[in-house]
Amino acid sequence: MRLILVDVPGLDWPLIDTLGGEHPASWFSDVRRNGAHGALTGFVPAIDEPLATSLVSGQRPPEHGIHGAWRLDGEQIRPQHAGDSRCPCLWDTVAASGRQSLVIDWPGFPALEVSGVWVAPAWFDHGRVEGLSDPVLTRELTELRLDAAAMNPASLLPFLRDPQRSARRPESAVLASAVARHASVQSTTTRLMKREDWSLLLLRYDLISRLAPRFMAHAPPALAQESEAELWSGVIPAALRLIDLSLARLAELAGDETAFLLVSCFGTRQGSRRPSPGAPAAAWQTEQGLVGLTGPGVAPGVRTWGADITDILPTAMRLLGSGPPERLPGRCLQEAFLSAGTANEYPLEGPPIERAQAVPVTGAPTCHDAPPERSELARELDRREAMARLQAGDAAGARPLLERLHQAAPDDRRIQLHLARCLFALGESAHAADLARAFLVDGDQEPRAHLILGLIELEQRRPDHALTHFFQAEQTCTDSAIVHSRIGEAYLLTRRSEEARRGFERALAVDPHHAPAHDGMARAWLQDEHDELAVESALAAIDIDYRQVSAHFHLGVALARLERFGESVSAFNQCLALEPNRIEAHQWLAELHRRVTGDLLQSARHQHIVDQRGREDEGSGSRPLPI
Amino acid sequence: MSTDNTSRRGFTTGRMTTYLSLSAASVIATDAAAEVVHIPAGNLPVEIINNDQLFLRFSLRAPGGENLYDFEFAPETAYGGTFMPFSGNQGTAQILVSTENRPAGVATSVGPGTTIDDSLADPNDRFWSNGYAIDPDDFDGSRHYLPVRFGPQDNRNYGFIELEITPDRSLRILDAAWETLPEVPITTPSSALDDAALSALAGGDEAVDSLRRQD
Repeated sequence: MRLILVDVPGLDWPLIDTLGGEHPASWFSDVRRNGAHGALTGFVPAIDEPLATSLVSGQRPPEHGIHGAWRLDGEQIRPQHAGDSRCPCLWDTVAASGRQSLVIDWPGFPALEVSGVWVAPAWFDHGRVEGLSDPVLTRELTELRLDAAAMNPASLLPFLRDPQRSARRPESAVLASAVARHASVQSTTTRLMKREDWSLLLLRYDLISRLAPRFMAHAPPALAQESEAELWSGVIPAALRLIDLSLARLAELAGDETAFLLVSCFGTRQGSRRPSPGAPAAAWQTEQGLVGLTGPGVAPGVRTWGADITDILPTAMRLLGSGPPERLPGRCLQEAFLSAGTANEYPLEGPPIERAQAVPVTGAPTCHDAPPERSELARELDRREAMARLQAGDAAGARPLLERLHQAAPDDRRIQLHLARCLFALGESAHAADLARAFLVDGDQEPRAHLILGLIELEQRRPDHALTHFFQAEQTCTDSAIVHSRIGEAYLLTRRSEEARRGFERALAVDPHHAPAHDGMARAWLQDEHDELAVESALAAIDIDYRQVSAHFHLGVALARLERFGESVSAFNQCLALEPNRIEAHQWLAELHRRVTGDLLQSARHQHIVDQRGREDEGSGSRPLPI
Repeated sequence: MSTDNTSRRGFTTGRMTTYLSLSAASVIATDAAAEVVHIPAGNLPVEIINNDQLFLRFSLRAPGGENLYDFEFAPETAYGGTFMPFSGNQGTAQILVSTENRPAGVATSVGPGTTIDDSLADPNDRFWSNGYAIDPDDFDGSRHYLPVRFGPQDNRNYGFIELEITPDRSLRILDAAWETLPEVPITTPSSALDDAALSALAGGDEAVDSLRRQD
């Protein structure tokens, strides 16, 4: 089986639906009709190198060790290359099974000497020969490179409403550069697809993420001046059509027997969620990208449950005909497949996986702009690793990094707040509160400090105090889904479910894809014994983020109350698959197996876990809700 | 109690079903505009003459060649004009007129991808004629094409003029084209024209030469 894996940063299904329009090729429509699709969550900050490495290693940055574009190598600073990952990547696994990969425009410098061909971004951006895994390709691929100056202006007409007025504007140069680069990537890809023997094509189209910060403000409804919008409103729709056609072209060349996996680790803000025109690139990103699969064995018309970036590698392995890798945090998106199948055409067991090495760099050691200053880079890499560990739930691992950073720069507010979050996660609430309160002097109303203090109050079951802090945060963060969601949670604790729902509704009005708000709604519906609505809200949360553990739990509770006991057991089992120590789920399962399914062995197993942890949890008030 | 999966109270079950399944373990481009002869911008067969009021002087000619016809839009509104034969040879040059919004009729636009020939006329509300104003609202924004035909009956050429009412409410010609062969319909540029250009960009190595500047 062959696989094409394409990463299109910035792409998401709502963007396609709003601005993608209709198109004869319509690969996007085809994947939704004949394949599986859904949302994909990456992580923040959304930096190319760590995101790309997580996609192909199945691990998060703390494990693969890549946190940005630059690397400290002893006293040297050099660009990061894909071989710096501490974990084997997809091309290594493919090589171990005797097959070849085409890796095109994948982040990092220089190229890797992969089994197959590697064409790095430096080749497209600067013509650097170290961007090629095989220098023999230099002449042939040079003919396929296109820069903005050499491109026929007519190629830009689909993007422009008024070519004559647009021509002299600086935006045209940005557009031309991005479009020419895309054409170069596509030309190189199609040539190599035809002349090489390959099993994996790993490719990146970054057209949307390059264009969105400059042109998304002009997409309807325009944020900028109407006259400007008239000039540029066609750029993003045309870029979406171009990607649609490009994917269709790859599919056409590859044939029906090739599987296709389209991914994006973040989306693009649109409509009222857009930042002000001119905002930095990160401000245009949303937390959720997309996933789409087609090919042999993929179920038609299926929606995947909220996928995580670590789910892509197991899914890709399945599409390549390999068994699911073990000891990886992600799951294969098995709901996307027609059968549960465990075909293992190319088993991972056998000879150890050899890692691809970087090609020697003979020219200038970098291809980026000037590298950052060494100590500044060291601090930034530590900060990113700490954030990555916090996001992955490894507060203990983040702590020494944050403490070191805080000691070195006590005035760095971001670090102090991260440290407060970290200490709270480790149960050191008093210390966390001290750090957070330090912000609230001289009338400063740092909303993140109020959020942390509110969480501490919530944990200590003082919802009214928590609400005071959340309302303070709301004063300066009126459009924060997180703040509104926390307000809802505080009301839940006081069993004021109507006010709670209002909070969650406001959160969802700001961000309809905020999974904790859907989960909060499920809890609110449960409080009011609207169990069917609780099911809907819990499913909505899981739809967005499969790892929203509490949503599986609340789904289980609601289903049990509806006397859908078999499904309820499944939901609690899903909850425990994600968080094995969730004691409330064990409590429910012990009861359900004892009173409903009659599986006394299972009941005893869960009860044993409950009894072991019972004393610790006695004060938490977590008890099974009555069936 | 039983373990069946039938809800006694209703809620959407489709998503629940898939949730439960988790616990089980050549260049695409077609040159759609091949028949369209776009007149180079410097040699448009039409021009706007601003004589206090905007009106169109419709001057069809072979590019670079001698004028074959010369007509004027006599001004009626600040935006348009009435399409009148300059030399009085009524019936040889016409635009498409609609009575849909005005009983007396008004020059009307067609959208992208519209085939222009005699069949555009509709006995109920659309007809070919040579004496009607342009409705500025009809041409507000982009991608509005004014269908034209000229020449004697049974030997007519078809064409279009792309007009736009700009934000400052000026009339602007964006494009014009005509089919050089008589009695052959012409199609206004459609999204397929854009798609042809995009298809070349998406086409890869086979199309890359077509993307290069020719000068």
